[in-house]
Amino acid sequence: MLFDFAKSPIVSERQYDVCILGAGAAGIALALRLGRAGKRVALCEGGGLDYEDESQEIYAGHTFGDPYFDLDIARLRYFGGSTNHWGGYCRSFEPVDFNRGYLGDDFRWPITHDDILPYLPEACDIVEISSDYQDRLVDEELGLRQVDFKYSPPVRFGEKFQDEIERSKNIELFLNCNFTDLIGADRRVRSVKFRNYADQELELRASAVVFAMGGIDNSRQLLWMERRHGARFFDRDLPIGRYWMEHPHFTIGEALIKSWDQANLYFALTEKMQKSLGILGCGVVVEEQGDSTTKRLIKDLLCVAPGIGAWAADLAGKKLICSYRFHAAWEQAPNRENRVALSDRAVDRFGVPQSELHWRKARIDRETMLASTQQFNAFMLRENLGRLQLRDWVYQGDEYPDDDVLAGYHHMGGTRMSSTPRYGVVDGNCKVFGAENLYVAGSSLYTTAGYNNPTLAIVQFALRLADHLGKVV
Amino acid sequence: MNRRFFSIAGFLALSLGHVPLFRRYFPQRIKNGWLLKDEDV
Repeated sequence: MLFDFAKSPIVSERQYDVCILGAGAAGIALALRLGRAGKRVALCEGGGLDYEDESQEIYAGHTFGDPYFDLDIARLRYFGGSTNHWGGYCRSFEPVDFNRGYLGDDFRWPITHDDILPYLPEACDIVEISSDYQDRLVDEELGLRQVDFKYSPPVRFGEKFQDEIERSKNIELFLNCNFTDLIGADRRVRSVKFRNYADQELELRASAVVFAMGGIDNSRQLLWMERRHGARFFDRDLPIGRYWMEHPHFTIGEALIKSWDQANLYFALTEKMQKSLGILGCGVVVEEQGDSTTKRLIKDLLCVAPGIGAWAADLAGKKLICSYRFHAAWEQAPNRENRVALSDRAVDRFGVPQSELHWRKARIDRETMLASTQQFNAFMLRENLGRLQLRDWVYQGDEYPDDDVLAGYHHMGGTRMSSTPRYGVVDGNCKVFGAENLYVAGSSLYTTAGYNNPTLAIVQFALRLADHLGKVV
Repeated sequence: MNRRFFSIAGFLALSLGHVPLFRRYFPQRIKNGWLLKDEDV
């Protein structure tokens, strides 16, 4: 069933089992699994079925620190959420991602990789990829492996599941419903209040409430609830908004490589090598370039190293060498000072303070990129595959360039999982510390970020949360 | 006195022992960004 709050007032006396705030990848996957299990679900989306400026403007905010994207373009606020513009790159967390405790308490998850692994096949079905990931150890001594990415078409969750949701007897989809408040007492939410863009109000009652509003708004709205209600719904002084993470994305150089028959390859280091170097995960993407880049690189190499330059020129004459661009996308260490905060300068149209995003990359983030690149370079030199030319900023130790990709539009952390409220906002079952029935879904849960694109794991975590809620509501 | 001594000693230690972050990971020969073997040049 679908109700559009923009078209007519809504009065609901129904008691839902679960009220989900946000209909993106997490909210839709969660609603579908709960609905199929017979639970009564209210799925509430702030936008409509298509893009509208008045909804998108709710995401406006301010960024501080390293260069970053405008917050109102980094996400889409309508049915399907940011799956309406995602790229479809799919690879989930790896065992090592849940095993970073050696780097400090900030890195400890309350769950293990085995807790989300059972949900991989169904998550892969949802995004229409195979779950048969074929990684390959390239060199054990250097800890180098080739990793497998899958590509979703990409699935637009809103388009794909709208029919099923509309036909479902158990799921009611509310469009243009903007969350404004929680109602209840003694750590228990009784109902949720919403407003449409004509300022009409709606209140929905539910046994459990899930924030699935995205990697920034989950933090913003929880911070707002803490400011409005203190400890009414959850513990005070949780690190809400903190440990926010992205995946830095930068081109680190170009290489001449001989006799390689692959156009695009992904490499990463083994768990053993990451631990040995004391670094985090980094994916190095090697992308084939055209003849003009090959000629330019050979000319440059001939100038600085005539011997190896002549070798490359000779291979080029025989069509046995190619140029490749090296692009790195890597894991950022969780840092308490990287955070979403409430603005004291501006509010959205519903009176909620806008987001302030404070984000910087740290020394260990740079080390992760450098060490991973060096392992790959060591392999190229040892096997005499070719030579790599780094970008100036990499080897001269300069600031990161602000005209590169910068990051992955991956919003993670802020309401992270932990076994203790000292380091996290939710427990291993995604329940906010101190709350009776308030939960979080989405990549804001991530304790650490891994180096892989977050969407596939968002779905895994949502399916897992559905199973938990199915038992408690 | 002691505080000044330690701050100067600390500064010298840092200066003498300082290795740029990049060089910790790439000790090899570099020319115009190319990561080279000694026999390349």
